Order: sequence, then structure tokens, then C-alpha cells
Amino acid sequence: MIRASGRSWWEARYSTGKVLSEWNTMTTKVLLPSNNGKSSRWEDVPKDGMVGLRLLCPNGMAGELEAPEGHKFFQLKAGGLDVGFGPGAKTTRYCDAHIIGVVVNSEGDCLCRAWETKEKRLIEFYDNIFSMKYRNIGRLSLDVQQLKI
Amino acid sequence: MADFTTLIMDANHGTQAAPVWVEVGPTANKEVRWSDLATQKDIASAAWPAMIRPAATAIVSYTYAYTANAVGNGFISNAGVINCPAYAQTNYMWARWNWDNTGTFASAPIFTAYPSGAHGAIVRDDGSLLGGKIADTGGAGYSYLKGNAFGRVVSAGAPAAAPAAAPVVGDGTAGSVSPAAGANWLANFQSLQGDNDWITAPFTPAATTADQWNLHFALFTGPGMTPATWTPVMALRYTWT
Repeated sequence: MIRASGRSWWEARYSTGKVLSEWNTMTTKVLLPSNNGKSSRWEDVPKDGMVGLRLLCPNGMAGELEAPEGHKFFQLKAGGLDVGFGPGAKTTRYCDAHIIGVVVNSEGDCLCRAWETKEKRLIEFYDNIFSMKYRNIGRLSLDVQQLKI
Repeated sequence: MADFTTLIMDANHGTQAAPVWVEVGPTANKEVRWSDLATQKDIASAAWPAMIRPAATAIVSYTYAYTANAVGNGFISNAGVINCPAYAQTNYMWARWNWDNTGTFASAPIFTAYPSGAHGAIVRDDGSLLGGKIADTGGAGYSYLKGNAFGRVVSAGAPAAAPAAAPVVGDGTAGSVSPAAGANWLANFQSLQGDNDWITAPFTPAATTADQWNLHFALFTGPGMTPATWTPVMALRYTWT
């Protein structure tokens, strides 16, 4: 199912044992077994009690992060859009990476895993949510991610 | 993935007082073009004229907003009623990034440029349009393409004044620069050079809220630029949830 979709998906695990998969939060219909028709917005996903976050990748690999309490995880995609200049220039929008992370201390240091779409690989790296060096992302919005540091 | 449904660059081909915003990307055949001629309205891409490399550094004066292969007007040209006016930073309603209310930014967006859609690394001082040449563009080799951006989104207040300083060929700061948050442009234009030099917004736009971010760009050339057909891309690098 993940392979067929051709993209990565997040999956959250809660201290109650509940598991919430991204495809169960989609606003629009997707060709997957379950879909309850709600928002796919990460900011609307409950963060209380979230103790695990997985990234399920289309090459069959998965990366999982854990935390002892909620409000420590973040999830985002990094990409962009190109505006061509010069006659016949190529223009497009793209997603370079799907990133999950967990904040590990009060300084904002974090452990991340990312599915890189062009390279088609799952990577792991350390960074900092106040100044993410990965792809020059910079400071993450704590409000959007509902992080508590 | 809850990306934006619409996220585009708008160019003003109207007037400074009454902007008319047209999309210049990222849809096919919508693009920005430059020329040293003021009369390049509605020119098919295959017939776009070459420009002779100047003996001294100079701005490429005329910027065009093309919405189809052979349909385009000069920036600030009253929709083509007049020839393309020469670049002036006093025409501060120049261009903007424009997004709808279907997505949420996860960090501050970035304005930069790449040699192509492959987003390859740029080598400073290599004589390319974005790599620059120290003898022309100064520093460690800044881009010939310069940018500026406003310190807030339009819903918080559109620009009411121009950047204080006109762009010059030596403008640039290594790494990231940001305008001060609020009604401010960058004091000086920034080199737009891929992941080497770029502009970071001083804000993360509000979630699921349509808005715009005003910007400027100006292209220079000079004797150190390698003659070639240059077709880079300007890019909005952004994250979303």
C-alpha cells in the first residue's frame, strides 16, 4: 500500500496504545483501505500522549522516533517552487523531503529522519529546531508544530 | 500532504499606482525574461534576442512578465500600453509570492535562485549568472541576480515606500539575510545564489491563510560573465505540514 502510493506517510503512536495513521486523517478520498474523511493537517493532530512517530517510506523502510511524553514531535515537508527566467525555462513545484523529528532537550536539539524524494532514501540526522541547518530550513514554528520545550 | 493548492509568483505588469498582477510561474510558459531592449512585448521564446556582453558592469534594464510563449509585457508597462520602463527600485510594487488558504507553512519561507530545476550547488566566482565573478560582483563572488523582500505579508500591510537603496552589482551578504520585521525592505539588495546566499522572511505566515509577500529582483551583467544562454530559476523554498 505504501509502495503503491509512491510517497512517505507518518504514523503516530500514543501512550494509550492508539495508533493514528496519516491516511486516516485525509480531507480528500485516497485509494487506501481506511479513510475517515477528516483533516490531514498536522497542526490538528492531537499531540497529548504522543510517544512515537514513524515515517513509512515507499521503498519499504520505516524510521521511528520515541519520546516519553507528548508535544515533542514535529513533522513537515521541505520543497519549493521554481519560476523560470529566460525563454523556455522550466518551472515546477516539488517536495524534496518529508521530515519527522523529536526534540531531545530544552536547547532544541532534535533527532530527525527524512525521506528524500529525489534520492529515494531514508536518512537520519541531528539538528536544532531553532536553526535547522538541513536544507537551510531555519527556525521551525513552534506554534504550528505545537511543540513544548 | 497538505500542500498549498495555489502558490505562485505574481509580477506587476500594470502600474506602480494601480498594480495588475499576473502569474509568472510555476506554470509552464509563464516566466520572467530580461532584455536590454524596451520593446520585447509578445515575442515568441525562440525569437528572444541575445544581448551583447557589456564592457563594464551594468544592470539589465528591462524585465518582462510572460504568461504564454509569445504573450508578455514589461513589468510596470501599464499592461503593454507603454514600452517596458527601465528598472527602478522606486517601482516597489514589483512582484510577490502569492499563496492560498489551503496550506500551512512550518517555517519562514526563503527566496533564492538556482542554475536550473536540478537545484545544483553553485560555485562562487565561476562566471555564471548566479556564481558571479569577483571582479564584477565583489565579495567572494556574489550572484549577478539581486533580490529584496518586504518585512511582512500584505495582510499586515502592503509596502508604501520603495527600498531605500537601488541595487548595485556588488550587493550581497554570504548566507541568509532578512529584512527587519514590519514595514521594511532590506537596506541593501541581496545576492541570490542558491544555498550560498538567500533571503529568509522574518516571519512564518499564518496557518491556512491566503496572503502575499512582496519582493524585488534585478539582474546585472558584466565583462566577467561567461556568454551563454542562461535559464536559471528563482525559487521560493518553503516547508509545510
